[in-house]
Amino acid sequence: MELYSDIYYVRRIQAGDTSGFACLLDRYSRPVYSLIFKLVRNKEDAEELAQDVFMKVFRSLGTFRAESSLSTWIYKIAYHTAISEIRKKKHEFLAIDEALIENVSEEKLAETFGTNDENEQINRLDAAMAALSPDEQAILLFFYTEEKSIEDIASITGLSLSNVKTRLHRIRKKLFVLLTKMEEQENE
Amino acid sequence: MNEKKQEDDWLKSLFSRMPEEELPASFGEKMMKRIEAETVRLRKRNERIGLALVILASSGLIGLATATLLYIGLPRIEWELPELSTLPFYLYIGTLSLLLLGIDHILVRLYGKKNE
Repeated sequence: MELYSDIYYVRRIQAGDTSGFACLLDRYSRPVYSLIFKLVRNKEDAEELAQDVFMKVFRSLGTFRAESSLSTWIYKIAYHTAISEIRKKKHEFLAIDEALIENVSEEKLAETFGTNDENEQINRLDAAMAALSPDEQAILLFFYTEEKSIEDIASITGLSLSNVKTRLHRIRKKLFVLLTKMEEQENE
Repeated sequence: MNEKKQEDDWLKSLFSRMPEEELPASFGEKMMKRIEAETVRLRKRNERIGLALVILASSGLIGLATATLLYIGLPRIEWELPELSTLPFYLYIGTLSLLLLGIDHILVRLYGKKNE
């Protein structure tokens, strides 16, 4: 099967051929659903939100000017849709002492954490992620799972490049604090 | 720098091992149904907007024409009733024509049924 570029399908849809949207769905529905699921942690909510995201994508395709890649543009819609939905539910997230964030030893954690069983490592990472705020989780997921560049993350989140870099650094530290705490609790 | 890279690689490898949630099987089908419904809704909305614009433009033109005619002063229109003395004759002819047309229609139907 011949694969066409995203822009080819976008032009087709803009010209009125909505069947081209199925090809975009094939490409992006799984990563978008997976990202939203990791943020909302509920299958039904994730499916509903993913559908809302693609409806917004469809309605706004006429305004897509290809200034960024289609994937970045779709993730931008997904990020804002998921974050605003989570904010409506007013979850509370863990606040971590600044001193702890500054003093955490990433090297030591990497050493001790690495000795754990693989499933255990993933479960702990998942639990630590759940304690972060949704926008912090999203930045980590864009960087590590979706392998987006700092520029793309800035475009998706609407933050400046330096702000993304600073936030990414701090979120990583926060994640290390949470993982260290879990290690300590396990050893006690 | 190396420490940072190591730390990134460690986290990257951990994130890459996180299981990805499976998309519900009917997601694409449901989405395309919603897209088709949305396309119909948008088309109908555009049609309604188009019709409203035509009505608005026509009303505007009629209003403008009326205002212009009133402004320039309309000539007085005089209209006289036609001669009504021949009216009963024309009514008689009209009724006769309708009657003959009705009879013709009934006969054509009867002929059609007979030849079926």
